[in-house]
Amino acid sequence: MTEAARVREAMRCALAVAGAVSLVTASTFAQAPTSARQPVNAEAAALQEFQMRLDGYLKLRASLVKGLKPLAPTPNPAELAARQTALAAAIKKARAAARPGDLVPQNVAAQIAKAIGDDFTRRSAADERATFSEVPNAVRPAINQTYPADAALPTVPPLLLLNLPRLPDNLQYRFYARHMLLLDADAQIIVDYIPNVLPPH
Amino acid sequence: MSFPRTDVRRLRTLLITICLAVSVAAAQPVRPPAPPSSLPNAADSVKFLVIGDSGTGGREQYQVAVKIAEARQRFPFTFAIMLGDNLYGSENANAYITKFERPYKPLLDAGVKFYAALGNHDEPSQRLYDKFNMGEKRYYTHGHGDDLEFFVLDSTYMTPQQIDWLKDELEKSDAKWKIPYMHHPMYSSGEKHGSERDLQALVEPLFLKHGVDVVFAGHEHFYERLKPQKGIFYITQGGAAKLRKGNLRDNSVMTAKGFDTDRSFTLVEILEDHLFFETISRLGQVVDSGVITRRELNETTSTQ
Repeated sequence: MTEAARVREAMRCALAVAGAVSLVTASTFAQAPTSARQPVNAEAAALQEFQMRLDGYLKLRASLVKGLKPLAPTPNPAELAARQTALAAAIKKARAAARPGDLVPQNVAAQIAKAIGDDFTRRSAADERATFSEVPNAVRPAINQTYPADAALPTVPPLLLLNLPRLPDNLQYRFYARHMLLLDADAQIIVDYIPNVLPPH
Repeated sequence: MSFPRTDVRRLRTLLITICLAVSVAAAQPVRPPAPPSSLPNAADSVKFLVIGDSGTGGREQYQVAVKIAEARQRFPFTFAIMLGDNLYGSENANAYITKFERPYKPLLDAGVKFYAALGNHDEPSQRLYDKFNMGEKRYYTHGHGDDLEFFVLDSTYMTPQQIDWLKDELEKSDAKWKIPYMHHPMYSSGEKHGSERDLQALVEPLFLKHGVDVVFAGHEHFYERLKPQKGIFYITQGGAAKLRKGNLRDNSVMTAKGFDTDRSFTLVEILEDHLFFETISRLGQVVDSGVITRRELNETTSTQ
């Protein structure tokens, strides 16, 4: 078997595993309301809890957006910037007391940390270097902190994303120093983070 | 042997006149002629511009923009695709003006529409900026006639949802030319970044299944046309403002043509089953050109 064929085979296996994990995750999230079922295990229960917290965040966000000018297409950059600032300010005010872990339960943080660890174990050193090449070398993040405007938004590897719990639109996982952020993409503010889950780089 | 004095005087006068004429001509500002173009420039073709990593607001971006506007005088493209990093740094209102609206004003005034992909320096809120024509989406499609459809991907955040969406959209499309573009190159000979293997694993099978012939990407701050990878042509055009000089690996077996000594942009013309391209440097030199024929019709492709 050639090197290329071996890589393709490894990728196929990774995809198959990732697909299975995604299906399990998706079906977990697609289940009926809490009262109608019994969680099958602690991991599933944690994911369910995570989903409930995300729903709560989205509900809060939707209520805040109602009080602002809608985020709709505009040819006016000033309007675009003003809306983003207003949304960020409203979220910061409403979640002034938020603490790390308010959105990501501890068990889910552990699952995410494991997925990241597994992912980087299979990557080559060169691949790992490329992945981290534009990750901001920042101090510890803080809830409600605005993502630095002059920093790149480093790519979270797509094969890793396949293995992480899915997030709704407008929320994204992002690497930040050695931490994993949950970023509100429109407001560009940190809504939660999991500290020290990335390998040293 | 001797010349009559009158002939010597005439000869001297003639020489002085010639010298004067030459020196006057040399003193005139020289406008380099437009480079010879290999594009057919047919009346009924689809013509577009490709730029990547453009949004610095710096002098070089403006210099490239001037060359683009000049090129449009002879090659009237109607739209432009932007391969990401549309706005570097802060994205306040002024950034949209100095890094996009002002340099490309002649094009915007002429009605050229820009279709942007998001890069790793772009906030997702750019999708709400009308002049990027993203339809409020991080990833979207746009079509031009019956034969051409673009699939614009957000490669900085390639979620499973996006991959499912791409699969559906490629399946639905009847276009002869299905052209994806995104910020990160799936294949690259760049020393700084290199190939995106996760994208190769997840996205390339879809491209192969649905008959994609050409893919555009940016991110690497140079121009590279790769040899076909599994039959697909990959073109990296990330040098419309930034430059990573000398970053193309010299010995890369993947490179068909590279240009990493100055900024550049690419003009594309689609005429039935052929895609013609021409890449022009900041100084107006044609640095690459050729034609790609749809694989369905012809496995061979000629380039110069």
